[in-house]
Amino acid sequence: MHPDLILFRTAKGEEIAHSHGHEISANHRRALLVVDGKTSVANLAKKVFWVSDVTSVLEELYALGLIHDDVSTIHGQVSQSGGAGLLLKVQLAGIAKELLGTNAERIIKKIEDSDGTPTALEETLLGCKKLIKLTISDELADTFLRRGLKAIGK
Amino acid sequence: MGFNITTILNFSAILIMFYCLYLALSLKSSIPGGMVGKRWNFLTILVVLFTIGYLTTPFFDQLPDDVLRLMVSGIFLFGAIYVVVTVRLIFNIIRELTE
Repeated sequence: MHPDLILFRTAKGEEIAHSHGHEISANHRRALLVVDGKTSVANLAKKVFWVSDVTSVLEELYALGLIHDDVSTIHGQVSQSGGAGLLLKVQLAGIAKELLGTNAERIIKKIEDSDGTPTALEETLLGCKKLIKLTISDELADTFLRRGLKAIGK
Repeated sequence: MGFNITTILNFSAILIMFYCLYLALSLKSSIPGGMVGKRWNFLTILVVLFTIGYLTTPFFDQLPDDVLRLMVSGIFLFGAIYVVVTVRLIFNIIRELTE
């Protein structure tokens, strides 16, 4: 697992993190709870001393589909820190994937790197529009910007 | 075909053109369309033409004068078109980014 990777809990991960069942071990649950959609794997491995063998546990959670590194794969309720901004990012990534298909990768990366505030997201959308217009399609650029601005309420 | 400064220059030009062809083709998948993508296809075709043209340069001394003049004129013409397309592309990119 790449040290710079930022991980998010999936819907299934959210459910298990807040349940009191025995689907996963206590150590795995502790690791699942520290995944916040902000901290990189390297930083988690450094900071989270109360979880043993953090990287391996994260890999196992990833394999179980409880966490993911691609924000666009997360649907539904997002209750992690940065909630509203993250939810907007998820929506924007969804729009990018729907409109651009396999070409959405760079756009989703730009959205993921953006701050979650509406102003920052608006700036990111304008940047994405230019990138789409230059390298993918003129028409899709305008559609993406229009739908993106609508999603963030601008 | 003697091994002289002209030969060295010709082979250097061919090597550089092959490198240019490699760059043009490897970037192609990252630019599926849009303003740059459309021009990129045209530029790639020109690079292919230039590569073929440059590959014939070691045999220039075996070509009749008329054919040689025609080829050189063609390379000049397509070279000029290449420069115009590239400059316009850069102009459009800068305009788009500063809008």
